[in-house]
Amino acid sequence: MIEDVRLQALYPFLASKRRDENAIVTMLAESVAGKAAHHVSIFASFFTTHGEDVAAAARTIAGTYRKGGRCDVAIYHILWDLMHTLLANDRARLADEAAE
Amino acid sequence: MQYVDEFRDPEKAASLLRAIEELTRTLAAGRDRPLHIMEVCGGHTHSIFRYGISNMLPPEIEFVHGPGCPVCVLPMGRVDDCVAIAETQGVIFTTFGDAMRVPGSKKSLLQAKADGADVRMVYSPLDALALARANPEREVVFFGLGFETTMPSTAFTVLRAESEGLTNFSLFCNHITIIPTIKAILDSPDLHLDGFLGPGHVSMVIGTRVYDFIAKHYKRPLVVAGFEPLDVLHSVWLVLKQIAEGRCEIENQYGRIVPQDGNPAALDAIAQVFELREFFEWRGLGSIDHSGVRMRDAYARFDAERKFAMPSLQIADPKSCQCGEVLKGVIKPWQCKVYGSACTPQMPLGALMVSSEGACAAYYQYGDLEGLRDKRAADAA
Repeated sequence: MIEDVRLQALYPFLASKRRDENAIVTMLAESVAGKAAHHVSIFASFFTTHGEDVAAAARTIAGTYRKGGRCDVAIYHILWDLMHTLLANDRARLADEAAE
Repeated sequence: MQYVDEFRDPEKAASLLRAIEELTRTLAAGRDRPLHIMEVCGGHTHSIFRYGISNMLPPEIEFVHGPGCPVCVLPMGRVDDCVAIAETQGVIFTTFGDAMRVPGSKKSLLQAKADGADVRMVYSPLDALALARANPEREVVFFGLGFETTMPSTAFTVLRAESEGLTNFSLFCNHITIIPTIKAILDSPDLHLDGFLGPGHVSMVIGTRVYDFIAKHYKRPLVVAGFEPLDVLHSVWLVLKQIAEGRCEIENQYGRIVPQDGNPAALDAIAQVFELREFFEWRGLGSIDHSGVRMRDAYARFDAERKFAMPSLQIADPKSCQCGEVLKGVIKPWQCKVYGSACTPQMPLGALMVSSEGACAAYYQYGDLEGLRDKRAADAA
């Protein structure tokens, strides 16, 4: 390890002690688990708060498609972001399912 | 000439070459690729080609040209920033000669000068300071670039500007550090290096202890090398000897110039004026953590980055230009699509063709162009 403080300031990585690799792996695993839990909680809280709105919007779109018309662009984009993979085939049928 | 002729003695060179050939025979047996030695410094690249050293060595030894040419690794966006400052009303923009021809996204500093900007070539940052003294009504900006080698002279210039109470001098600081970049290269999975020729001039400032991690953690030998032909040959032999003996150490071949602990006065000046940036963008290598310095707050009044508006954009190199791959040692200069055709020292497209320390310029100036063209044609076929 470099002892000269001027060189330590210039190359901080030379001054850092080599870390215990097992500790790094444990920290990494904890970080990944924490991020995954956070991700799941965001989804859960989103549907708890906005689930009804999403279902209502999906019903509106389904009805609009059945009548052969176009729907409100903002609602369409919200749902497209959520369900674009599902909407690729039979839009009306899948929108109905989402509403359920 | 003393201290020059002794290091160009043909008989000693022949003797070193024999020793290198002997070691190479032992080392090459059973290997499926050549021994790759990276010369980190652009000065070594220049010496290797100028003295034909790569042609003297056995084919089992291949030099990989490192990123140690500061002009070559300067990203285009930074040149655009220079042009923006230089074109500001009332500014005298000063820089070293080789930085003037580095292409920006629209123009080089030389082209900006042709368009009317007051861009002047200087040999020292102190020349810029003299201009500031002589032109108190103008703002004089010095474009500071280079590795740890040139940092001290820039730092001392800022300190002198402060002591003289100058208010019309500023520094556009683009100084970079080589050590984190060597680490980034060692961490790169693309490159298989067997040893290093360490930079001589940088080491004169920072000493040799900073390289210990290369031997200790990456298990690669490094020999800090001088720039004369015998220095380079001796250093190559020292690297090979370490490999042959299974050693990984930091050796100092350039002991006549490089002290183990560097230059304390230079390090003091660097520490006083500069602090590390979180990251710095390198042409071809991308962003590298802690690989550049900026001016400390205490010297903000001399900092051109705080005084002038500039675009500070990241600009990609032209698609046809392969400086990045050459810098990383992935291809040789002559394998670049535009080498020697659209890109020449007279009309450089990429920065590596600009400075004499750039690998492309060195190949162009000293290489066997016809032979390289034949090689390229054979590769294409």
